[in-house]
Amino acid sequence: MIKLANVEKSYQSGAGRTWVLRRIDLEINEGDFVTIMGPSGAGKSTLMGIVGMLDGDWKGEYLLAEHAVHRLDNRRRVELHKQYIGFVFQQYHLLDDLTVAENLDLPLSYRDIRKSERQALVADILDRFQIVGKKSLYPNQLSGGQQQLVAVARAVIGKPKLILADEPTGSLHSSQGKMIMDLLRKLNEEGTTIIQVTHNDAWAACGSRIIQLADGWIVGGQANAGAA
Amino acid sequence: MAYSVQQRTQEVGIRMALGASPRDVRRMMVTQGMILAFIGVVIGVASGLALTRVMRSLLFGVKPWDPVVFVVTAILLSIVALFACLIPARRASRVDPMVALRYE
Repeated sequence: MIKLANVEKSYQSGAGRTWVLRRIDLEINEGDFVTIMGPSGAGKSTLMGIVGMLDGDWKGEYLLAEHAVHRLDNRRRVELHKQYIGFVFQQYHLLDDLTVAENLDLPLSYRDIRKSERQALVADILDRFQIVGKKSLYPNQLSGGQQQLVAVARAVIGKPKLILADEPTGSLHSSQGKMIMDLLRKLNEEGTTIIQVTHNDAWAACGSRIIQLADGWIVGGQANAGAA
Repeated sequence: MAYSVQQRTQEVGIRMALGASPRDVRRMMVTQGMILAFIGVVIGVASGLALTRVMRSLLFGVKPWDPVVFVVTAILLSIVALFACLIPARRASRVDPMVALRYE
């Protein structure tokens, strides 16, 4: 599903260049649950940004479901992003002035979907995640775990094939974190490919593969799908 | 407007991460800015009409109820507001989503 070949990212700093990612070669199959680990500054979030097509300033080749992302202009990348990708962030990143239902509707509002259909999809996801009673609440009325639950629901409402979760349990208590990881595992069992960044070994074990990054290099783990 | 847009940098990053295109961001900023401008124009015109009685003794050669003045002022202010929205909206639509998401 995903193939990165010789992907690199750097920026000019003073007289030289600062490298953020170096010669990243990575393959991920559909249905994989991959964990990216590494120290701070290793390039984990940058890699997620590139895979999620939020960062267009990189070199190399990136194939997403046979689409050559490196050859696409920004407009087509945005369309591909909407079609394939859902994001979950450590800080939830719900919009504070929107209710739970409005937050769930937000990604749908950027797709070509009629309002009646959007309302139906929001109703479905509220029911599926058992948060119907919270649909009119605002994020500041929810606990951290509930906010992240809404964030995961928002990430999957557009039926993405790939979820990128950047430290999804980083701001949660252990019991809330377990709830979110159980949810991600269930989504993976239903066929969604998941790439997560985590510092927690227990949550990393929820996935099927671990990739270690350090100083922008892949230094360990299984970079190629199916590699022993 | 520029300050308001800057305050919403993180929100722009979130929206882009959820599928908003740069065009969607610009449209949102301009629409919200022009709604504010419209409210301002309506309040300004209403206040102006209300104050004409007070202003009548101070005016010379200008009718207090001159519709051309009201219409031209409203249009000019709306055009200024549009440009005041467009420039920061364009800047907002060019924000790097990964940087915007980390913005506090």
